[in-house]
Amino acid sequence: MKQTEKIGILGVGNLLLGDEGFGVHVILRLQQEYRFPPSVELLDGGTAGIMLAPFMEDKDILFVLDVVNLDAKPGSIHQFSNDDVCSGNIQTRMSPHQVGLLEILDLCRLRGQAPARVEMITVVPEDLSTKIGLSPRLADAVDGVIAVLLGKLEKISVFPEPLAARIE
Amino acid sequence: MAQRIVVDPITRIEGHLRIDAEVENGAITKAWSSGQMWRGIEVILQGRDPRDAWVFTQRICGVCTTVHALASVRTVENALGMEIPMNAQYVRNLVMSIHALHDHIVHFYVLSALDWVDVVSALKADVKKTVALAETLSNWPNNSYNRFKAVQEKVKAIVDSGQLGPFANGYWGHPAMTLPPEANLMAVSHYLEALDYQRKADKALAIISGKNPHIQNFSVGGVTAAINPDNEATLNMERLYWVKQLVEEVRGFVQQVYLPDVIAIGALYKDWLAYGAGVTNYLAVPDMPLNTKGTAFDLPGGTIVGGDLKTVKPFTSFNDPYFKDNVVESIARSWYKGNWSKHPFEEETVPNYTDFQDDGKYSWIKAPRFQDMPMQVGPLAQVMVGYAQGHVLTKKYVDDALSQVSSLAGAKVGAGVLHSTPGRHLARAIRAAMLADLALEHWAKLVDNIGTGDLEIFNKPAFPKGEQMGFGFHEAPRGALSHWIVIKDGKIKNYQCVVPSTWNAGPRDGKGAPGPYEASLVGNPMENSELPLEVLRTVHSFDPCIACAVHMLDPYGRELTRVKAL
Repeated sequence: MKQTEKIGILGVGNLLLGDEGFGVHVILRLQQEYRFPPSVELLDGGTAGIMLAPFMEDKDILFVLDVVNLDAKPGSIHQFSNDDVCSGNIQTRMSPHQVGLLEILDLCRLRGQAPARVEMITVVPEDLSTKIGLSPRLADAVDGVIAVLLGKLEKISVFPEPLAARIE
Repeated sequence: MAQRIVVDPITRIEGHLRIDAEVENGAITKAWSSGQMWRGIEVILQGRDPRDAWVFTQRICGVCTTVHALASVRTVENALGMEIPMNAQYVRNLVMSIHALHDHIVHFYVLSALDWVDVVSALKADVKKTVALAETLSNWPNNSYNRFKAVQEKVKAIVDSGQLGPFANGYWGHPAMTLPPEANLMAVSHYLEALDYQRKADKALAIISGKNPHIQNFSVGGVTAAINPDNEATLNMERLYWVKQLVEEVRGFVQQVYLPDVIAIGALYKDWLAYGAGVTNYLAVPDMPLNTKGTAFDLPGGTIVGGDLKTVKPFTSFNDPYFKDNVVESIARSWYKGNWSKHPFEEETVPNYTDFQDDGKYSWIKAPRFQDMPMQVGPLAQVMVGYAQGHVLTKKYVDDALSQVSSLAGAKVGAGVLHSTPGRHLARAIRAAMLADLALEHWAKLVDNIGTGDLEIFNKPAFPKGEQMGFGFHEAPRGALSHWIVIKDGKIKNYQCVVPSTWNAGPRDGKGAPGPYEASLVGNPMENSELPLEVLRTVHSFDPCIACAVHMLDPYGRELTRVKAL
């Protein structure tokens, strides 16, 4: 790997809708517990849609942390790469909120500025009702997702440094 | 016989905005707008510290984050009767205007342009003629032969590969797509360029706000962006000049690309200037305050009734009783218990889902009313209200745009054409052009104020015992946003957000008067009920904001919109 490769770790989701905020919760944990080398940028992307395009466009490798719409056990972890997934179409969407990550990646690609590699580490949510905080199963999945992410980073020789004590 | 069509995006969480329409003889005769999910996010706020409310409210939404932050701090300040330092007003005004610039650009190019622009038709364009067309509209340096040629080749490669990406499943070749190929090519080129300018706006916002999305620099009582020209860690002249340069670049794009494009689309689709007016009662709130109290503003607000500019009545302060006393929400046709219309301070909502009842309850959205009237909000409302009041900047841009539409369309048009589907886009582009000028003006005001030695950014709020009520408004990209709070002993007792899309997408009220989306669809033509492009045109022109932001990944692109022609 070239030293100059830029790596993005993007957590998305809505913190007010229970497990929907999973990706953001993971980013907050990563920020509290690890120091990352300068080539790695973390972003709590919240629920921003198209606003995430600039962050994506200047990365060579992008890791996305999110919940996923799959018929599988809540809390189970599922991985995808950009070749596995396909997007819906933008035009019939009623609102800019419905422009999802995959459509944004398509736009970046159209502009010739998409990351070379996109890896999505996702979990199946259990509870998307209006509240703050993860359901117990999803809270348990945070460590698993972090482990998967660190494993992937290790393969490209990125070693985040664990911080000694977590500030509670 | 009338045919019923339903446009209903399917998602795992109950869907978003559903539009039902009845079509007879090629035109829409009746329409229903329905919000298909209930959030009750306000409930999360009860019992919390009012100083934290803005941090929560800006997570309501992924597109309109800053707007809820701004409305929220103003609401708590209003309840406490506070003023904030001049620097804080200017910093907030900069945040607000830059966010809106970003939002307007993205809304038009990413969400709406493809309702009017046929990407595939761009392949047939004569590149030289495209350059000539673009030159009649502006001097934008990227309107060059080489650029248009390259874009055309890119589109060709995409179409040839069969991988249309974001352009897949568009309504290409639909009979209602009538732009000449050259206009389509020009617009596709600008579509691709738009993301560069959203990036610049995004960056400017992050420099001032610490983080984007979800800004970090507000606070009840002011802002937390410390100002010190001699300190590298604060908002200093170097950062301010960086912001200025970025905003100037965005202004270039807005005034030389976005506004001319919308003018051209308005002129080339001049038949559409007759469609989509709907509710012509307008409501906009004033914004970009010019003093610490919020009694003078750079963006005008007020109301207009029945499209008659002579009825204009302004809102003049952050505490104007004309606004505060006249807003109610009706639940007569919404899925809540009861049949009331209540002031936001008094609302207590108990969900009561029935089913979709054409003549009964059919939406989770409430129906806000002003003096019992439905009101259209959004950039068109603001431009109308400003134009009616003789607001200098509004008049300049509106008159200029109308004269250009007239010359391109070959027929003289007046401000009346703004009451239409393309008129809403034109008003939004005009507002963006104004905001670009005003952002730079407020930048200069901020720098001048810092130059006088004033570095104040914060007045400390104090919460007395007992109960206080307050409201705060902000003219957001989608229109008048208001938050309403009841504080008791320093904690939030009640919190309501009356959001722009509630005004526009709300259902009928107790008297059966339709909301703006519903009214605007009536009379729209409909070529083919299976491909309801015309519905999308009119609904998109409002810039809907219903979903309140859910981001779940669907690996198979299943989150599609279902269109049913019954």
